[in-house]
Amino acid sequence: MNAIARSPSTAGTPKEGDMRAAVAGRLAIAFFSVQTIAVVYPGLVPFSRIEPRVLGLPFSMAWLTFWIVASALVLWGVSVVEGRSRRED
Amino acid sequence: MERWQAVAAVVFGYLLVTLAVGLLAGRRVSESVAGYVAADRQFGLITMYFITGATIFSAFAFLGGPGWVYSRGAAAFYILSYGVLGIAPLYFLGPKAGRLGRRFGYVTQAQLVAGRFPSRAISLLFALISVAAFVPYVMLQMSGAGIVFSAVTNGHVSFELGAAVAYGVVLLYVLAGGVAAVGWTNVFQGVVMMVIAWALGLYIPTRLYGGIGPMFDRIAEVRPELLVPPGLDADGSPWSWGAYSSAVLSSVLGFLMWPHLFMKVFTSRDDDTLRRTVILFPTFQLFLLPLFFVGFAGVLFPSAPEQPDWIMPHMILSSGLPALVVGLFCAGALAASMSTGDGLLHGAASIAVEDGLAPFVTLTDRQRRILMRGLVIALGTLAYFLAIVQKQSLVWLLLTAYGLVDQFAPPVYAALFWRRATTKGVLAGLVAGIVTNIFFLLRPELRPLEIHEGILGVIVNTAVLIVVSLATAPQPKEHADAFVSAPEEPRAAFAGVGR
Repeated sequence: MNAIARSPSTAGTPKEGDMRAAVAGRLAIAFFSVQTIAVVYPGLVPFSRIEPRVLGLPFSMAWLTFWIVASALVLWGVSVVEGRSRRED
Repeated sequence: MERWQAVAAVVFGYLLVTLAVGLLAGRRVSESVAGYVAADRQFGLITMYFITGATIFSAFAFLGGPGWVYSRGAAAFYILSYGVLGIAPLYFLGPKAGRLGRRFGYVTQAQLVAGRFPSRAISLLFALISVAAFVPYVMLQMSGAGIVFSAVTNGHVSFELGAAVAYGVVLLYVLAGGVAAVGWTNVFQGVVMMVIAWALGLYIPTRLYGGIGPMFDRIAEVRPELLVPPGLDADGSPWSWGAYSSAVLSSVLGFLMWPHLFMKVFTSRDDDTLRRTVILFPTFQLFLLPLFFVGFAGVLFPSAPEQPDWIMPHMILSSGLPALVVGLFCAGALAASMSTGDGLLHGAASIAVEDGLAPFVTLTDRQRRILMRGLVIALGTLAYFLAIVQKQSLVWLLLTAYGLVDQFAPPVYAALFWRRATTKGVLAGLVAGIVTNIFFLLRPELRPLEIHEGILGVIVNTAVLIVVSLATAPQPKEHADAFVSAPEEPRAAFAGVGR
């Protein structure tokens, strides 16, 4: 997708785009901060257990895998919002 | 032909293909330091993705990871956690550092830091720590190659010979092609690694236990302590939360600071390429799962390998797989080892010349390239001899190297984000951090709560950096701004004209 494909009427004003990008960036930083606590002591303690099993995996392993997948989605989301804001510049 | 000979034939075929890819790729870049170190800053998304992934996943993931799962259970889960958290900051600071690199012509991380904080001592310290941290990391890779060769050929190809052959090939293409050769061989090796890891990780548990779920059912009955973090220590006693958590944090902090990885911000074509690499990175991280499955499959297996790090080849040889598959596994493990080892050797040599020598002696472009090549050979040889005499586990080697690399984090973040930081503050912090790290490495029993020495070093490093910076005169505003604001390049400015 390039800048020409987006008509100005649907893109919103550049200022809104910048703000959305800044908010997305801050949310991502919050997400990674929460994750940092969730994968070490003490955040990991309640999830360091075998049951319930998820897709055959012990819960602890599934928990840590969940954060990997969620991270990919969050980073992708930020890039979409930021990409839009940059194209609007 | 005997089985081990068939396996060896597959592996040698693979090495030849890798060598050919490396030599061909090296012919495509210009003859200059920028060409040798930064591949003319021309890597696109696919190359960047596999270089990053293949560089990060090494013999450590392929052999050390399953080895730790096998002997220490969930202790190894720390490896699952640090990768994504470690690379995420690259999304935010990578494009900024990349812009500064293009603007001022930096090819190494130390040049960036010494650009903001002009000091030859900082530059030299970066070079010394980099080389010191690279040596155990390269040793780990070479041990991995030796383990694979020796295990799958029943010792017909010795550990020493296996490591020597694999790294002979690496030396050839790194010397001939520099980072372009490293890049294109990693694309090839990254693909081989991923396919093999998933194939084996699903096949072995299914064959032995009837599936992943049934395998964990059995382990939960017999050895439940292996399935919950923080897992076990090397002697089989429970590991402490302090040690587990600080292993994660030390690796998160140090991850991006690995000079060979950080230097990739200077090789990428543009900001978007870097950002996309970060977004795709977690897909590489998921490939630890099948490797861990193989380690768990070994837990209840009747026979045991000589050392935990040998569990991966042990399981493969005990599963009655055809010689071709065993050969391909070796290729995958060698790919993992070599694709990291090559970048490390190349990175260490580039840094030693650019940051350790160039600030002190005037060198021509040509002299630098010759010196880099000489150093690749010298460092490779040093690591090889240390690798064949050392006896530590692969994971231990890497964790030790991380402690040193962690000390780069405060200077790099200060250079990019803190206007008030001063040269004296950064230098004092760096020295204090290194001393703290080495002290606790040598006296591990003195560590509070068994916290990793790298984290203890970073705490002291950061505190000293802040206190000394505030006590010394601030840098000129325009100078600090050039780094902290790192304005967009002309191309982006042009795009803003229509506003």
